[in-house]
Amino acid sequence: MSGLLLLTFGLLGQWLFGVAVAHLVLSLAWWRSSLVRSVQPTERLDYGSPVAPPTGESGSTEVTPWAELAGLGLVLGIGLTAWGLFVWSLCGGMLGRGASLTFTVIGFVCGGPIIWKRLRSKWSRHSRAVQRRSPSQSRSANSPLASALRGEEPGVRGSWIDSQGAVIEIDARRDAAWCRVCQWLIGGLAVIALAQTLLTPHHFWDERSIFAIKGRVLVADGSIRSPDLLDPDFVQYHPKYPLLIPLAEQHVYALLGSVDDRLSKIVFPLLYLGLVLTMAGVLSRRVLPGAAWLFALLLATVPVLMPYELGFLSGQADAPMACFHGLALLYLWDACTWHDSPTLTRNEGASASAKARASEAPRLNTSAHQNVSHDDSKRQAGSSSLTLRVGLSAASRRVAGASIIAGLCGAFAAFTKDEGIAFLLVDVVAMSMLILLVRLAPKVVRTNSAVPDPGCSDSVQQNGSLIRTLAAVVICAAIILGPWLIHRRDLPLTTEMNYFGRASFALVIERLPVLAWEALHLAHRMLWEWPHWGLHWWLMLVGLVIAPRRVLSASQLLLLLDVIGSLLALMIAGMLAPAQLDEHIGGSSPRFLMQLVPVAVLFAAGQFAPRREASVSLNPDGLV
Amino acid sequence: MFKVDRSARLTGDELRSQFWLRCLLVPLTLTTALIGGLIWFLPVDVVQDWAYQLAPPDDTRRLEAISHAEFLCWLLRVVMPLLLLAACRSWYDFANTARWWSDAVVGMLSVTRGMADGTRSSRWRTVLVRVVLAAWCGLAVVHFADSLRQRVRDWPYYRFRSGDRVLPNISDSNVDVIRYVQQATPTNSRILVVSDQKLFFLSYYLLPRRLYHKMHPDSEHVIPKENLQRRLATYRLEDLDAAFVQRIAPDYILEYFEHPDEFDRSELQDDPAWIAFQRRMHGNPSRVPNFLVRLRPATAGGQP
Repeated sequence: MSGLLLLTFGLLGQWLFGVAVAHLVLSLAWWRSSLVRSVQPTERLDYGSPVAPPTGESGSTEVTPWAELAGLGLVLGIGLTAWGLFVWSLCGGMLGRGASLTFTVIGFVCGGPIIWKRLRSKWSRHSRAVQRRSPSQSRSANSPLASALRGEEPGVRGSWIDSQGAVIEIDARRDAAWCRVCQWLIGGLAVIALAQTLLTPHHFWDERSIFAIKGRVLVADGSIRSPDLLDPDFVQYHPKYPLLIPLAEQHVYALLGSVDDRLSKIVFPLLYLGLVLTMAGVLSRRVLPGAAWLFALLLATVPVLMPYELGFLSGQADAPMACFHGLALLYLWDACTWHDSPTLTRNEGASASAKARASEAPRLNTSAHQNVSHDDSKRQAGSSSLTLRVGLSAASRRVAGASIIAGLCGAFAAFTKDEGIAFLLVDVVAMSMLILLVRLAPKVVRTNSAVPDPGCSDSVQQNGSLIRTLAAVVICAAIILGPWLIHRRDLPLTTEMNYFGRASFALVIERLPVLAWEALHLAHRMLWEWPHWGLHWWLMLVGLVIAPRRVLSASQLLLLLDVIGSLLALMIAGMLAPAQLDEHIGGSSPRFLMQLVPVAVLFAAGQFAPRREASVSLNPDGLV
Repeated sequence: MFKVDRSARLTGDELRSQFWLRCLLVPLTLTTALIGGLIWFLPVDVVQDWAYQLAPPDDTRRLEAISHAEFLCWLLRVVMPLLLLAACRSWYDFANTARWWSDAVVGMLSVTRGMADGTRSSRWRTVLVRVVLAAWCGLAVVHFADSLRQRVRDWPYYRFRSGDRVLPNISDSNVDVIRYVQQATPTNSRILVVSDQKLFFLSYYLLPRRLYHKMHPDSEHVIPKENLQRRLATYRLEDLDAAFVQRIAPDYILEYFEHPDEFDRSELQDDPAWIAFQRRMHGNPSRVPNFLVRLRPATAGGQP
């Protein structure tokens, strides 16, 4: 019983650790905003932005939605704890209860005050709202259900840009009610996932022979430099495979005080919840919250992720890969998505009709850059130009934060399974191609700079922003992966496919004929076998058909390039592998395609979801 | 008893939503109250007896039926009160609940309309999006029902036991060998294995005993098939050089072959402890397994 209590305590600390890092990275705006205010204390910042409402006590102009903070906290908590334990052990520290408890305490110390501050801010807002209400209101209006409806005053309508580029109006209260339904359903699904996971011990091939076995050796030997893990003849599958999952399981065993391969599976539904919540949180910053939560719900109900036996219900690494790779792409997409200058749309949009605003959107964006480029010369414009400057620099910091998170998640994918290295390479190549496209065909690829630079054209600015994003991703990934890649050199090659070692031009030419088989096989798996795996590929195709123009935006193009690149990577792996093709690719393709599910759903969300236009405020719950 | 807001005149939409909510809540409340009450009132033994009577006349099937009944009984004991609580909560705050659901439905329709452009000329897009979403939801429900069925099936075997106790999803021969080695060797022993099997599960469940096996390059990337349909290339004990054995420094040497071409049938009873274990485990005093297992302590030099 004490083991279970300690495990609960440890998992909470792990989550808080992730929350602290997520908050730190995503709220880089905090000190810069304070700086701006301290420079010109008499100027009043315009908080009318849908992206950046005030938080009251914290003084921050950017508030990460609760869903995003909580979800990312779960994912980063698991990833960073495993990585921290790895580095600790690499430096000669012993793994065990002491190390795990230390990380737990660090999590409580760093993340506890952040959560406490957010909760206190939420409670004070709630109590202010209750005080504002007149005593004549009925008791039913004070019920939690009625509180849920109080996200917005009835009848408040927000303007959004739909998939065809037209402006539509949506009732915010009704959207909030729909969001709450999705949240309840996602909560229920998470509970079901947790229950189903804990009802089975590890019982599949990879989860035992690759990952769990390493976790148990780590428990027994207390070091990643265990002589057995370095021995080519110790019986384990893929000795070179990364250690994130084994270390996460070792963390659970260390807290529990014993080995129980049923309880170590608790890591996987937590990653599932983390993925879905982060998707909802990030999307709700970019698109209509009702659509954001709908797509999060769709992601949560893709059969191949959950409840497919080899998805999040098992201890296999494919679903965690989907989580980490999906989040890396989500934050790259976030960094590439146009940061509506909220202040601008509010100020200028108020005077224009909805239709006119939509048609003039590109021109308004350009005028934003012009405003910024002449910011210094227009000091007499006072608060409005200051507001614009702060809003846009907050957007640039958002891009920096998103790029760092993308780099971290991409690195965690590579620290989970070797496919992650391929995904990271594909991400980098896709970003590079995007930069090239923006450079060569600026009129075809619709781009908008989040980080305007005075005196530069749009495409140059966007290119600079994309290059900085790419650089941040590569640097973060290199920092995280460096120690692992150093350690990996000492690991034996037994049973490894050794794709990079086997790659040669002659082999690729020799095996070219298998491409046709692979292409047909993948098409069959993705489209024909939808009753088994889900409708996400069809949804992606429908999105392409319904809103083809949206594909030409930088963020959507990135996802499309990434999916194509990943499929090509699988096909090349099939050509290089020393195993029998139909068994190797035929057996692993459902699990590989599972790793792309969040990207497919995100692409569909980008195609379908009405995007943020103006005048709807986002509160920290992620609800309008 | 129930709180209804009569202060304001209800609109047509509100009346309609209240009607539909009532249509949902009445059967839900009655069903959950009835089944929940019954399932908590009836002892689990009675339900298990009933399942036993209904099961086919086969011992395994009957045992499974008893366990299935137990699982379903407890599942209903948890789920029904929760649903009843939700239904009561909705009755308590009926007007607001109805408004909330009505808002949620309208919100969902707005979202899907917005996802596909709500203009009249492109209504087909809205229909297409909604059809895909409806199919998505239907598929999810089917898969969740299937996963629940799978958990019911698993319960007789897995319950809340750890993998070490259940040894799930491995062949019967693997189970026998693991159990035998567990009881025949000390916990921290080093075991050198020569085998025509993939030994990952043995290695996993025999931890903290350590298993070492020199894998033949020809079988490194070969996936085994059921019922020995695919023979894996393997080293025999005599193929291993002394330096290798010395490096491993095993406490025990285990020979384990399943393919009939890998051993002589006269060798099957070479290890009397194994034969005795098999006979004891299966309750058959004349049993001779059809695969070779030979476990021997190694000498200081690593040789048998």
